[in-house]
Amino acid sequence: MKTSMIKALIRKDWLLHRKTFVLFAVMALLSVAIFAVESTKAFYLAMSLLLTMVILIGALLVFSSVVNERKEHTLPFVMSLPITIYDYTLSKMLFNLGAYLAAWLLLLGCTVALFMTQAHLPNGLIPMAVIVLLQLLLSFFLVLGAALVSGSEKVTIVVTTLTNVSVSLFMFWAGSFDGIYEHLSGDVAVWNRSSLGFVVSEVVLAVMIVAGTFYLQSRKKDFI
Amino acid sequence: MSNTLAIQMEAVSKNYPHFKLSDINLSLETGQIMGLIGPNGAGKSTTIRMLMGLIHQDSGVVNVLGQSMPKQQVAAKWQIGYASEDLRLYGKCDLQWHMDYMKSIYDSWDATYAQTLLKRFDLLAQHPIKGMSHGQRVKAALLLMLARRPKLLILDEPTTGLDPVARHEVINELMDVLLEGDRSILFSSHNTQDVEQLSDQITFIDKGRVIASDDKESFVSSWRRLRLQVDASTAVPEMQGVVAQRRVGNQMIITTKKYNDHLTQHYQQCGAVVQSVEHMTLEEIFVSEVQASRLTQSPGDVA
Repeated sequence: MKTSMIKALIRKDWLLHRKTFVLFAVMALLSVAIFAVESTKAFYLAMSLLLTMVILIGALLVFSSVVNERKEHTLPFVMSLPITIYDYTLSKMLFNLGAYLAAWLLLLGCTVALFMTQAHLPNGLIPMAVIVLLQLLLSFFLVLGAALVSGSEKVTIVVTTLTNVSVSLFMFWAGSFDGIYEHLSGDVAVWNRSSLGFVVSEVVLAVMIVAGTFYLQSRKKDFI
Repeated sequence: MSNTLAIQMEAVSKNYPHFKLSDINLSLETGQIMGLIGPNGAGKSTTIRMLMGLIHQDSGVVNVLGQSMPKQQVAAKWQIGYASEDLRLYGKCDLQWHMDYMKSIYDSWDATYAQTLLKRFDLLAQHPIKGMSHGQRVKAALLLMLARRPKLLILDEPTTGLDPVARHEVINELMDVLLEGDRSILFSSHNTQDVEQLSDQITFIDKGRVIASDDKESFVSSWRRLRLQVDASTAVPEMQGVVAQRRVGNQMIITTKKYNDHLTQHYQQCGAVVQSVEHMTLEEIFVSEVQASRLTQSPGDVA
């Protein structure tokens, strides 16, 4: 692995996709701003928009930087450079995770700050918000891994759809969990065994998905 | 591996459920140009992708510029220029963006040569790739590859789909590349005319096997088509090197891959009148090789 080549690959992806990424990130921030409006309708609107934007940013990154590279036959150009499959995978992971995490952390920070500063929003929702945002991060890792390993647009679309559908189901399930449900409308964010259990499980699963992606990529004998 | 070999493949095989590449042996000396000819689905692209480390062989040895593939592909790829029919550049960027990107990676990038190629290929650096014709895109990809002055060019069907003028420009440029003695080219094509024009060595590949590999002169000098006039009673024996023997009435057409003067004398001694001895084009030689190879191959040999 040569660091300069990994940097060159990441720089390429950033130059190619930065405009769309910034546009979506701004739209996501605007949806966070709606939380400041003191109304139940505004709260649900902001939540829906925020989730949609985070999901869209993830999909945009994966489809434009991984799926389209195969679909539009620019992958042979990339692979003609002095890199290995491992270098390629690492650069895609770093670019996608870096870009997604930048947007995700910004949204996480803004969301938590809003809950803490706005009197009409109960702080008890903070653990739930963190758990749901982590689930989105996990879904992104899964979609990225599926795109890299399968190299298939169809598989990536199916995984993206399934993970998106699972968000609302997951919210419903996690929100009804003992140890979480009773604190949602409370004034204090309660980090108990249940909420921390969710957070730790999600982080462990995310690490496993990344490791699994590298493992499966390393076993590939045919890349193009 | 010998230091004078740019490419060496020994007993290389690769199995897929519906295709098998078997026992591929190839060698290309430094400074030489090899044309890889085969019909669609013969295994040309698979062979080339193995040389680039993009496909790993199941068995056998692949060495490129002294580096073992796929393990040492990074070291080899610094010195390899690769272009294939299915290679595309980024549509929403212009050629200048691509040139700047390559320049940022390769210390060997020759900006003066890149400008020369822009003029020779009649390309505009600010022209977005998506607005280019197929010929312009192929030439743009070749420019990006040539301007970094690689020691080995590996080209998969580089002239496919090009109009005659663009083909001429590309072939001329490739011939110029070889003026620098330590550079080598392997290119695949099913256009025998291009291969004949460019190559020192020619390899025919069909159904995943190398069916013949030799220098161009040997192919051209050893293959002949003989037209004989024979009586109904004349028995013409099968000679060594004859790959096809067709008799229609009193006419007989013999295709041989081992022509020499003794052959005509022998037919004359058998009572045949040799009406003509014709040179064959590379395309005719290729078709004859493929047909002969398929005749000698049992159905079970082919995946």
